[in-house]
Amino acid sequence: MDTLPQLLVESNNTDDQTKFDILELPAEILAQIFQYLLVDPIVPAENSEATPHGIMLNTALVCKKFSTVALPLLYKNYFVSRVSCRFGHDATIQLTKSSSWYRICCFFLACLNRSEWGLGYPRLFYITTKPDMPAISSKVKKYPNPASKEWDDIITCTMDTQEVFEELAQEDPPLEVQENLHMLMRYSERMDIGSFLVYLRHPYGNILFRCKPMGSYTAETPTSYGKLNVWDDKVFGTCTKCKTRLVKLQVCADCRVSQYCSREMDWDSTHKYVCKQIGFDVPSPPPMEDDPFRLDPFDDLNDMFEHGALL
Amino acid sequence: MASVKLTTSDDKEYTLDRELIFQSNLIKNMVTDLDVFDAPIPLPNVTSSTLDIVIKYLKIHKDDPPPPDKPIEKAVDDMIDEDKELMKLEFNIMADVILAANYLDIPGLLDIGCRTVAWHIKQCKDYHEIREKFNIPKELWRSEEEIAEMKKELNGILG
Repeated sequence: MDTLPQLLVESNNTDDQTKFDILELPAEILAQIFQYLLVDPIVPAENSEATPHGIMLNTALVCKKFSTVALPLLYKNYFVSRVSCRFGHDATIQLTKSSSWYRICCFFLACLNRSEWGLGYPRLFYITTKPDMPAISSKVKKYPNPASKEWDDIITCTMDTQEVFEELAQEDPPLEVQENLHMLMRYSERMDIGSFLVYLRHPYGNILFRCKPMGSYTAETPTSYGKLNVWDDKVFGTCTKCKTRLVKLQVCADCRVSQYCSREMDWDSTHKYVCKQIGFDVPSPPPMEDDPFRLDPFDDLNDMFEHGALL
Repeated sequence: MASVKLTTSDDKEYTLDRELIFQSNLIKNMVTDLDVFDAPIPLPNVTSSTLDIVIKYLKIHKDDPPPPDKPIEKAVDDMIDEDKELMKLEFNIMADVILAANYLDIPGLLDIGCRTVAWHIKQCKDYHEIREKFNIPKELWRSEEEIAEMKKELNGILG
């Protein structure tokens, strides 16, 4: 019995006792702590690295235990923040709150890194391996970067959308279909420039997304800023303000993202304050080496002037 | 008022009001499910000094409405002053408090503990400072080459 108090005194004197504190916490509590690093947007001006992502990056570099918890959280937050969604279906809104949303965002971004997407008529991307979700989740685990080449083998690209839809419709319907998503496959020359379609088979139903990258393209940044606007078909083709279905697709000539039923709806609204953030530069296909059909970057602008869109 | 007896790992006995300690879901479930009223409940993972801090927290928050189930959205600065004062602790004690809150299932205390640690991480400029602040033992550090490699990889992914 005499040795016990002695041991306690000894351990009090050495620094060993303070060595383990935060490292003793189980991973799920560490994850909760790190979540707070990502939510709070306070950024001290003098420290350029102190964005939530920067702080998280620093945390990940501290030690091995930190990085195993911090890196998945960092990737998740980063890639989900790249996708800004404009959804109207209950099913797709539910999807953004589900745990598979992160993997789906990675899939969108992987499509963005394929060279086929920008060549004129919108291309349709879908996943070839079945069942769909395990294929993406294994990719996400193994290759966290959707830009890596390893993603290519699960993605199929086609221009012949009608045929693919018929083919996919003949397959067994997905389990637990909660809502029949009706697919609007209308193509508009002005709306769809630089966009691509993603078809997803999901327990929530078959969903068609329209994705449009934000910003402009240069040789250095072939995927623009790597950010996407994503619509489902309930929102695409409806007025952003009054939500009515548009007979004739009209789009804000500056951002090419917001859709309006009339001029008055457009500029009388608050849109002019957010327009430039949504993406001032007109999306156009990335320039490709030796491509005889490479578009003149000013073609779009000329086109707009001709249609009086900028007046 | 009915009370609940608790014994900590260092054999100290506490007698607390039921209303106070019922903020801990663990104790609440134990008492209501098992109908133990007189026998002291042993808490093998919690020391008396940690339980003192937990009780302080419970006293501050005894009149709070039951917390709604909501995700982490609030900023660190939303903490009330009493909680901030309570959380001015050494890191090893704070870790004990967080573990105790996790064990006793007191969501509110777990929450402010995590926020405080997050706040401390945010005050650090780089990973060297975080290591210093939290006393991360040297043998767990990643080597500088490893870090350079990780940074390169991460910059490739995060752009």
